[in-house]
Amino acid sequence: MLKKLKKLFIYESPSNQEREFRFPENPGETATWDIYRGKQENLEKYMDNSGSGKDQDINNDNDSEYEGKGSEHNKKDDRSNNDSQNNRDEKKEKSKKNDEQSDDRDTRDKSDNQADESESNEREANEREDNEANSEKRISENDNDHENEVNTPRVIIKTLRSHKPITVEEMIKESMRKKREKFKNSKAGNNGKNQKDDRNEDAPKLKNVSHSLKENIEYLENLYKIPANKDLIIRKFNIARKIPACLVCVDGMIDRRIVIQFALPELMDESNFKDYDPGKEYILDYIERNVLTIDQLVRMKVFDDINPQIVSGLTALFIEGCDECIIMESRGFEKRSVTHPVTETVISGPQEGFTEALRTNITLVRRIVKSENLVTEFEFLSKRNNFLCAILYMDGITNPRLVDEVKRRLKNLEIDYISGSGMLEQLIEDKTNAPFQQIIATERPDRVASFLMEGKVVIICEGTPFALAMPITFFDLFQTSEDSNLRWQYGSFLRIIRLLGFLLATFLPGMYTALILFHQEMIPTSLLSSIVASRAPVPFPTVLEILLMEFSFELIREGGIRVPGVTGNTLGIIGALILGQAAVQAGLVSPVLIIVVAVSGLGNFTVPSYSMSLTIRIIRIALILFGAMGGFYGISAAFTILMAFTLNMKSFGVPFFAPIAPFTRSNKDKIIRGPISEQTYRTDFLNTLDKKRMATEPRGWMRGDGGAENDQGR
Amino acid sequence: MHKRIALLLALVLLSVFLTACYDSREIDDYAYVVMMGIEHGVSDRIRLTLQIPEFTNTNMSDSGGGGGGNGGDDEERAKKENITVEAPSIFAAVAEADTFIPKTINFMHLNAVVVSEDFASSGEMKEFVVNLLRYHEIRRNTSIIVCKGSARDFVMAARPYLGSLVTETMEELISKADITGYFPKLTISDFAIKVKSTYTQALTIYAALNKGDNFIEKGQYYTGGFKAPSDFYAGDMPRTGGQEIELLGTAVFELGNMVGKLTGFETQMVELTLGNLKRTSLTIPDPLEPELYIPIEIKELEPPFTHVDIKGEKPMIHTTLSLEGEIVTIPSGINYESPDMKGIVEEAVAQHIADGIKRTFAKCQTLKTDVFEYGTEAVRHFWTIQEWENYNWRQKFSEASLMLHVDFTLRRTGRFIETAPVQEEKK
Repeated sequence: MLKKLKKLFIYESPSNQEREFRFPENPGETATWDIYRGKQENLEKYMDNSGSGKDQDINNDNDSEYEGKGSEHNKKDDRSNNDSQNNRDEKKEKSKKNDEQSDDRDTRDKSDNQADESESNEREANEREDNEANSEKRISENDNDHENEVNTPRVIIKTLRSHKPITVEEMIKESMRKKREKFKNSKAGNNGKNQKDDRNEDAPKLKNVSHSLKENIEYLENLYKIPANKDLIIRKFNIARKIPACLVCVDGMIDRRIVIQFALPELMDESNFKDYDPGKEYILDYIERNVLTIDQLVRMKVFDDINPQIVSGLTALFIEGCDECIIMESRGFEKRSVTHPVTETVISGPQEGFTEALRTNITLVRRIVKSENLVTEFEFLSKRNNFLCAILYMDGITNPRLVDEVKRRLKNLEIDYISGSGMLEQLIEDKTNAPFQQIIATERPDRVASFLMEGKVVIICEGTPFALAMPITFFDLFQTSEDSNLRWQYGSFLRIIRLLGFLLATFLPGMYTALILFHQEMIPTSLLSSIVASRAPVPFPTVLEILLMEFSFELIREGGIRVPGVTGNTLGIIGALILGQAAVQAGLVSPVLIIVVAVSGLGNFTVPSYSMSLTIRIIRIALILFGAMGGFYGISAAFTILMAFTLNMKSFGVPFFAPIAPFTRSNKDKIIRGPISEQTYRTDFLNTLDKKRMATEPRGWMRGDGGAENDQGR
Repeated sequence: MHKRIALLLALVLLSVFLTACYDSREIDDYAYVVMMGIEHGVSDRIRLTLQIPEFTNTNMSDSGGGGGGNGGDDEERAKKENITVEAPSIFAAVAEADTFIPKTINFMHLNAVVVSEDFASSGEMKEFVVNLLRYHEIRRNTSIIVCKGSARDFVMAARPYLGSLVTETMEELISKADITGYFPKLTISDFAIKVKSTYTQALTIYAALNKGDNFIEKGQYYTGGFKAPSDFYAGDMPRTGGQEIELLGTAVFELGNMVGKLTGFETQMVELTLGNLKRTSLTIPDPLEPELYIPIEIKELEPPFTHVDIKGEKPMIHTTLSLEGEIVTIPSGINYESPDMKGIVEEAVAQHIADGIKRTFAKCQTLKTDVFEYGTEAVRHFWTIQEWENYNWRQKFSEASLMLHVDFTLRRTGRFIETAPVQEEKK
């Protein structure tokens, strides 16, 4: 017991065994990250290292399984190719790897660079497929090729897993740790097996795009439970009055204009196919080049890749005799327009808030951070609802190990359903039981931009108007974008007010209880007289009185959110007024107490972060109880326990009170915000690649040389 | 994690067991005593009078209410309870009071302890007052007052005046000492320390009830000479109206017994010498036209410097006061602002103060009480306590001679730069 007490209060430097995420201490350690930037030499290095025979075996097994089916197709059509692609296992791996690519295809607003990249990738893929197509003899070689390519991401995952943290529990004995690891291993093994089983079960459903349009349609109807399911539209028609084809899309998710104006008419029009010579040209190539006037087209042949696209609102074109389909960008679902941020209103500064549409949100950020270094990576997270999120970071500023860690957490989620950023936040945070949040959610693009420029990683999720930024410290929870938009005096003033509000909201009711019950000598006599006079008709003990009032205040607040529309606001005001007034007149509550509760409630509203304000409310209740039990001693005890928990907290490796405890170099930007021109350095604890944010004197015009050499002091 | 939660729970429970809620009391469960009177009892050794205000919202508009016990018609306004119990000791009296007061008597907000002059002179006071400090509810900064007449009457006469609380009234009244200097600002703590000290003597505030007996409404106009303001004892002020309580002067103790008292003016001189007065007002007769008076506002320029020379048989006390001031009015119209005339006023003021101090010094010498705290200077010359005690400072003080130097500078002359005399018929 004592040992554990010691562990809780005394800081111990982390042992070697602790394998929690930390930042790289030398640049060499960041090499792992370079894979993600696609540096060829690193890829090769990892390919050389990858020799996991186990995975190869699995591939080979599966290959042989599917070979037979594939060969049947080959008999039907000479142009059939790459049976090895049938391998579901490979596809899984590939889809993981291709997520970035495919999402790039999905996106309309991508930058030119990315577009080029994805196109080149496609081209490569096509070439590769063509090569593979020709002979069955080469299958084994192809397999090897595939393995190399396929293994690359697999190896990455492995290297990542190698420093996967086993939840750091210093208090657990060594034996317990071993046991747990054993348990984990066995679990992992089971997972592998399960996956294999699933695969086998799914196997009959698994399919490439068939040459037969009828088969494709049957498969899709079976898959989407048509006719029971009314959402999927399968529009059968003839291309140029000759070739049977069909368009597949989900009703409501598509922009009808694209299908009606640019897909169907063009395809049906005979004149568009005057130059088409079936002997010379592959029809898909022809259509892609000459017929469809749509900006983004992708060819796919694996249904596992195709289906997520269809449900995301893209349109698939199947053509008789082709074992590929064309996926057209046609997303056009209803979405909310960009409006004021609701939860983070400011007076000065931009007034745009995020919406539910992921692409819009990324655009909002990109409009502020117009930089080629802003990298947006996409990741499908959940297994069943294909929840898409974007990871944003600044290449060259953000520490690669941080990005690495965020992606590791995201990639290793095994969950069916994620509804939004709130759920995701809980799944990737460090400590679930900690009192404070470890990831900040913001509704404001400008705030996201400043987080990015500071070197943090931001996750934007589909379907939520909130972006998640990490890692954070206590002080991030107090800052608003207004602080830096205003001159430093005003910004500092607002922050001090906010901090006072926080302190009042947390401590005032607890202190009041302690004062009333234990420390009457500390109240000035005149104040004492008013308190006593106001408490005279109250029949309850002070604790009950204050808890009652807090409870009704919470009721008003919670009820105000639920009450529809306009009545909500009035309920808040009227409820508080009438309830307070009536309670006082009925002699149930003393007026002084109402002031205390009201002030602490107001203080609570000054805290910009919603999660933080909830934390404060919980702590407040705890402090009231402790204050009622032990007076100021109780409050100090509660505060000590709280601080022991909080100081132990880390957000992605960053201690929660980072610039102060542990003390690191920082700008004057914690409580008092210094002038902008003095915010020279990026926060130290983020270990950014570029430490300096600006020149030592960013205002070049103030220097003697008139700003002739503004080299950011480097 | 479970272990941590267990640990947390253990800490929580620990805190409960360590403190429990046994000393938690609702704020309105107490009867807060704001004033305590001690004097000789008739049926028992002491008579203890406690004033307990009833805190209500209705006493906000109180401006002319009477005392609760003896007020009569205004009784409703200032709601307070005066309890008088006779018992062998203070806490016996409190215990007895608990038999008829429903709320627990609490001294945390005690504002002043009032002791009757008889009781103070009898030598019993030190026993009671010093031991008050041992009790945890008594604050050390509670004021101590010796009152003329009955302490019970004094406590009963205390009532809220231009305010809602007795404590407020008393606190504000006592804080006036910083401005007028007519009475010292002394607490039980001061008393307890000084009464045990060998180099100074205990003092308390001297107070009395003034029922307007000295105020003569009609009679011959005053023709006597100059009298320094407040040069009389508490209760003697010619006034009417206001509240009956009057704080004026100092009660002087020797060996724990009250042996004498100083007037308001004398107290002012003592406070000036001690450096407690940062600002005060003084009235002197016009040096050129003595029938007219010049009020002067005095400020301390430098802290007073004191040196005690004990080489000779009788100690020599050197004191230097550096003061500056501002003329408030010049009724005579003489141009004292001019550099030539300024010196006349400065000299007159310095002389006036020096006279006052010397007078007080002589008075204290006869009482053998070192109210000027010269002992604290003298004690520095001794290496051991025994030597000092053998020196017998009280005796030596009464034989000591005072070398006083008052340095007064006229800094400002009010808002007038130059005085032009008011037109008169013949000059």
